[in-house]
Amino acid sequence: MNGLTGLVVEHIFKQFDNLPVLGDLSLEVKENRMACILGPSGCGKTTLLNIIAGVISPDSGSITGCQDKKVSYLFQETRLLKWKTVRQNIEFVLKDHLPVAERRETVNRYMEMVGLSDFADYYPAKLSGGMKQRVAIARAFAYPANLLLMDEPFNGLDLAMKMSFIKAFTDLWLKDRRTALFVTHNIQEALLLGDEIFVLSNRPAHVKHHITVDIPHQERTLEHPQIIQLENTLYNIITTA
Amino acid sequence: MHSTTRNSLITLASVVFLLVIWKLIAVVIGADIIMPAPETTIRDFANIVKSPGFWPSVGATVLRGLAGFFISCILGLGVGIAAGLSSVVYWMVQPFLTIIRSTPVMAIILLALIWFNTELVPVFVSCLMGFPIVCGNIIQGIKNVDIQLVQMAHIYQVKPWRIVLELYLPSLLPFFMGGASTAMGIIWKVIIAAEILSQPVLGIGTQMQTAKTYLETARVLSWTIAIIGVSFFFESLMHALDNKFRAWR
Repeated sequence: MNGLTGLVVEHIFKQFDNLPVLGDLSLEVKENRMACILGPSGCGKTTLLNIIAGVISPDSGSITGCQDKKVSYLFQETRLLKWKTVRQNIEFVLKDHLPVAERRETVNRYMEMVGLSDFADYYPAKLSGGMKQRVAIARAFAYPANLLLMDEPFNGLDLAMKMSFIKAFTDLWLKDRRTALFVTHNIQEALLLGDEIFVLSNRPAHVKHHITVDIPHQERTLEHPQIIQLENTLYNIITTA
Repeated sequence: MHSTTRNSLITLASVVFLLVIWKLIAVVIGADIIMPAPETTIRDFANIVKSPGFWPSVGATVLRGLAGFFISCILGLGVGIAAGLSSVVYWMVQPFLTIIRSTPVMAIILLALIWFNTELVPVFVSCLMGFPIVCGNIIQGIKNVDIQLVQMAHIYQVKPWRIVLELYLPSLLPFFMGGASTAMGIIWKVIIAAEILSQPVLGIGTQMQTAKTYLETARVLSWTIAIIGVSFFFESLMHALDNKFRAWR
């Protein structure tokens, strides 16, 4: 590992009410790479993200590389303030971090990137589910974070919408390549987005397998022969205990 | 037909129906002292509106009502926020709220008559009526603040004062407005009761009590119309404010 950059998670243990959720979990994400955590539902993926984000603390183990770093978090839910417009929702997280002029420019740029410029003054109640998700993505990217955490952000979207999001998301990410950690239970999402894929075991979760995907993001499709091959590999890893 | 026009017509028909029933009862009874006819009452109402004592009396009642309303809102907001955030305060205020809620209004008025001067009694009573409603709603509101939103704001390192101002307060607003509207409706009812018993120099309640003493039934009804008007005006105002605050719905 190249010193202080990126993110290093070492020997994390966490239990809730004597139920061990994470057991000796270690992984590292190199700077400017997108890592993906793939694991069964309820195996502690969200707990791991929350520990990295500093929302909860681990029982033992250490996390290095993300102290003093600003963290963006794309939640399973959109978590928008319904009394604020699209623009105000993005501004809400930027006000304490960017001066007015730069903030305005940033908000405009990211609203345009997710195709919501025409909806800048709409309240969330007037937007479709997919549009709200795009506001949340714009908010996460507009925030000047060094580390981007994502907790199954494509859950509950139909396939066509999901594919268009993954495309929009990849385009956004490729522009500045922030270190990112992405949690999913979906093998295809993991293969379309991740540079590194960490497969988690059942509870108490630890990394039971790690693969690297070397295909450039722009070339990744579900029909790509190497992706199909990796999909089979991952499927076998997940289904064998 | 446009539905709002239709609804207005239905309301109008209902008012006409009420007046017809009123007139019929007045004719059957045939004694103005028991049930004055609607036209007699309306004529009397026009007279008191023109009389020099009308606006000062209405003004005094409105001022007392608004004073009671604002004090109960401020107290309710303060205590409600404290009780919503701290379980110690919550369990501490429960007995007070329960006692205030279950004490009959008349008992509170009688005690207030003993404790305070006549001008203060209606204000005190309306405060005591409004406070538990606003307070209860604020506690509900605090418990309804979306923890996921608060967590989001913490992760994005939004400053605490901004979280209070832009997240907590807007979440509380509908609850506060709901409580304030209910309190506003109740206050006009209790303030008249308090004025009738405490007899301040000026006030709609004082005027009603005087009219009753002289058996001027039409006058009692006229002052009733005046307080209904006051109550309706302020309730509409609260409704308009509520709609304005919640443009995002």
